[in-house]
Amino acid sequence: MPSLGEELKRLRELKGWSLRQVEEKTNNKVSNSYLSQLESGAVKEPSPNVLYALAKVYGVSYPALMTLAGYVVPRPAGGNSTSRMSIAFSAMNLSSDEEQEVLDFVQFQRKQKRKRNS
Amino acid sequence: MKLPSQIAVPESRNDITQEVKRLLRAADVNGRIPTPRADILACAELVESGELNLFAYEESFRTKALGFLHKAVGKVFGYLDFRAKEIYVDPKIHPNKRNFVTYHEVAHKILDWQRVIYTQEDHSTLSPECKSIFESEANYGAAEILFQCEKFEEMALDYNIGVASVLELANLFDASAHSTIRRFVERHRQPCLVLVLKPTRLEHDEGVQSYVICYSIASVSFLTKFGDPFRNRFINPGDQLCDIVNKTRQSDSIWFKDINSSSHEFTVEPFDSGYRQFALISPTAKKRSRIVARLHIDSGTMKTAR
Repeated sequence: MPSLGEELKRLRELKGWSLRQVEEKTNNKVSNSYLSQLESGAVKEPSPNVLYALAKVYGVSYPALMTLAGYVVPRPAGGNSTSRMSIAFSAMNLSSDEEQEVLDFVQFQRKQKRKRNS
Repeated sequence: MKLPSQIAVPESRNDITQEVKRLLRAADVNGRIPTPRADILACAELVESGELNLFAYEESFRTKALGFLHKAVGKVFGYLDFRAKEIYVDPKIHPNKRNFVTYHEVAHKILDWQRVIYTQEDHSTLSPECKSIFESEANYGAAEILFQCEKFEEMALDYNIGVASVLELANLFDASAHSTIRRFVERHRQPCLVLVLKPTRLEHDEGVQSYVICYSIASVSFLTKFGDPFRNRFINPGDQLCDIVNKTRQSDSIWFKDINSSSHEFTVEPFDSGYRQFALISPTAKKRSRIVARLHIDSGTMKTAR
């Protein structure tokens, strides 16, 4: 798997764009100097909104870039659902077991509501 | 002056502010304060789920350890269910904090780069670093919605720096004293600083407390002129600041040297919100009256607006 920097450089070169052109295409959200640092690996974890802007201008998958950046990772064994990421928590010191329990509960609640509405 | 991750200003702040402004326009907020919660939720296409029925769940899964879910849910202030387009906010939290938690969840929804990731149907999850960034962004977005971006700063210009001003603004914006004092200081044009304090377990004579500085927030002009004068995490009896907070000192003044070594007098106002203790520190001299700022001429006579 290429590094994030290598992939970003490859995508830009495929389009034949300069660093400055990418800056313009992202409406100055990603400066040419910052992109240069990203491509060289000097910056390894850019803000997700930067990756989102780059994915849009390059026309590639944003989640794939998030995976290369290490922001999206495989779910640990035991996760049995495909939709666990559709919940955003605001919580204090929630352990992974507790998070799992609350997620199970939210799924249960969804099912109950679907039953009531059908 | 390192901020804890939950209140750190994210790199994406400009994009967040842009998205919040779009939401405020769509909800036709147009400067109405407090921010109209129902209109914001409607525009974000979200509904509130109401109280959670934990009993039905535990009835269905009798093998699960009873109480575990209660304990877990007790730690949850709120959540956003992207699929159901619902938000849950713990009904037990203080009404003033409810708005912040609600808008925190709304922010998760309106930030495209978060929504795309949260709604992915695959076997992946977020790294702890990514969760931390998304939470900081949602907190920042929540404050932007609650205080309507620059609206708060514009209004705060009419107020003296002081706890009374903070409490009045908190009331107007239907926000907690905690979030308002932070906003007030971080966006103020004058040099000011707030320390968030927690009493230590050290016992001193006559009930005098030592404190740990959980974190501090300063206005940009304070940082530029004075840097970070509180390098120690603890304040103990005998320290000027500690004596002021404990009210064992006659004067409420404290002196700081600026980067050119000139001394300046500041006033310390201790404040207990019931949840947290704060010390608001602002310049003693040159206090500008809010009333002066609101003077206007009407039919040849001077009247005060408030």
